[in-house]
Amino acid sequence: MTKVNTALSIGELKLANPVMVASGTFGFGEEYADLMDVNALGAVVTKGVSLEARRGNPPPRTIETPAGMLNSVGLENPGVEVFLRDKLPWLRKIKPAVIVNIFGSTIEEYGRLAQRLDGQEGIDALEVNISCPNVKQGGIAFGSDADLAYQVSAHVAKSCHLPVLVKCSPNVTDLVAIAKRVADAGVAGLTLINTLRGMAIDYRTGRPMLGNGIGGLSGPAIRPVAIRAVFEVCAAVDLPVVGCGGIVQWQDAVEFMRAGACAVQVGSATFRNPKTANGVLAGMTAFAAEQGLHSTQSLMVTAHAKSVPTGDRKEPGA
Amino acid sequence: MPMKRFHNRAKIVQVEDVARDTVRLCLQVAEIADQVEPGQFVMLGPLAPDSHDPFLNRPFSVHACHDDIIELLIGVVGRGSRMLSEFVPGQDLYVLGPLGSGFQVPAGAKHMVLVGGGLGIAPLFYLAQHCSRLAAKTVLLYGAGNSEQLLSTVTLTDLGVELALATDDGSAGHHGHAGDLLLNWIAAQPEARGRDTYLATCGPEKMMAAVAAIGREHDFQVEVSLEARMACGVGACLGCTAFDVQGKAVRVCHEGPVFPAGEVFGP
Repeated sequence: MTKVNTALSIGELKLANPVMVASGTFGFGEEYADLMDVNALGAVVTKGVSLEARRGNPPPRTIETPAGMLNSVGLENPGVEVFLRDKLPWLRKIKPAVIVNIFGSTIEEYGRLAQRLDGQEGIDALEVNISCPNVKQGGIAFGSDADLAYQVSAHVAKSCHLPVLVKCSPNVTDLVAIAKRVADAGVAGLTLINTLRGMAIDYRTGRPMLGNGIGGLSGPAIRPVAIRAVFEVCAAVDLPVVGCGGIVQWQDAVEFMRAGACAVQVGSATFRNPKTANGVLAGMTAFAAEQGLHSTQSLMVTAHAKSVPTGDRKEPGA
Repeated sequence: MPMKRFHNRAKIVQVEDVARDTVRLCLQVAEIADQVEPGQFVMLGPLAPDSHDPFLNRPFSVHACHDDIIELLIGVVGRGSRMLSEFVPGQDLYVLGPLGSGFQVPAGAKHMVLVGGGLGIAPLFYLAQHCSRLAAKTVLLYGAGNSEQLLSTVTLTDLGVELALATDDGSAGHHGHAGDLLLNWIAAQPEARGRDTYLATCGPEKMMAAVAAIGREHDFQVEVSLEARMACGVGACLGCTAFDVQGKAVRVCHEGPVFPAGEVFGP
């Protein structure tokens, strides 16, 4: 069997392998420590952290949907100071890279968070959640406007010395246009995609199933959307992309790499089976060996070489 | 010693209808049976490992535990619980646990009063098993909608604890609620006042609030077991967060599901 090298770099961020766990699905790591092999991960991406503690949304916050789930947790988190004091010490002891997911409600807040986390021992990179509404801009989500997405990404990148990933929202008309602008912001890479906005209603009562009404859809139901997003962005933008959305088994992760992703994040599938991410790495590595490849990175991008033209991005049937 | 949690395949050894739309599922899973405490729960699933649907695992309180077997009470209310009720002995099922923080029975309590409504009987049955081994006097006060929804009295009598039943329609036991049974019990036990009496309750929230209020009035030590919709069961997703009386966020799956009544319903 071929010896397969699993290592990779995303800008300055060095990873032992391309399998991470997605923000919001793995707490701050310790929650799953005895149920899977945390040290076999390429990176742990933390629950989103803000400057101040956030209470999150009213319950119920989760509801199962066909091949997936909706959540409206609302970014509940203890705030950056409690994160540094209570959560980071444990994260310092693990082998994988630690990527802190951050969010704010103004560009300045994002910058202050990046400064506060910069230079802290044990933090290897930041992932910027740009799906939040910008309070100064009348509540428009940073991620839904190419200029705002660029500004917040560039501000975070120059506020710290850490490699920065920008996690893009799929709830936009033209993701490629946004990704192209963010690519000029001096960031290390993109994470694609965050959850899709969705809703479920109790047919009996007419009431929304989530306390917040609308939530974010995750799970295998969104994987084709995520694969398309990765494929289109990789074709148009020269920046590493981390694929995320509906991975439940190693074949799904390889599918993301075929679309052009250099790494993947396992999200809500961890709730079903805590060892999902471990199985994804093992399966992907074995598959690469079976294919006679010397690295898991060699699994990338073949779909682009083999694909039929899709560059005009016409609507299906148009 | 901190508990070690497992996500293992368990052999189904028994599936039995025990009341209307209620199934008792017995699983052979020594790693969990060895450790699980009353009030703790497990997540069952993936229910269809080769499919993505249903996507999430399901939480169930441990209803009884002996040797290497745990027993769960499944209320058949939706698609997942229907699938679970259709499993047969010999099949395997993934089980994640033991999870959460269970009942903290105070050492030296003289009276143990367990008040359950509907499927809230599930964790109290295991707690009754546990209490019956202690020196304290234990009474189980159990209400349901009607006689068909009650677990069989034979099973309950086997517990070896004092038992009183109530139904909303009067088809079995007292015509009324489990809360009435508690008032009756208190009236008959003039010596049971104050911190020597431990009261545990699980069931509909209204019932638990009423029971907690009665317990507070008599200065009992009261614990309540909450139910919440949850995705991970291990404290990671923050899907089951509830807010205590001071507005502090607590994870039902991790800090709970059992809480001091004062934290949930006020001091």
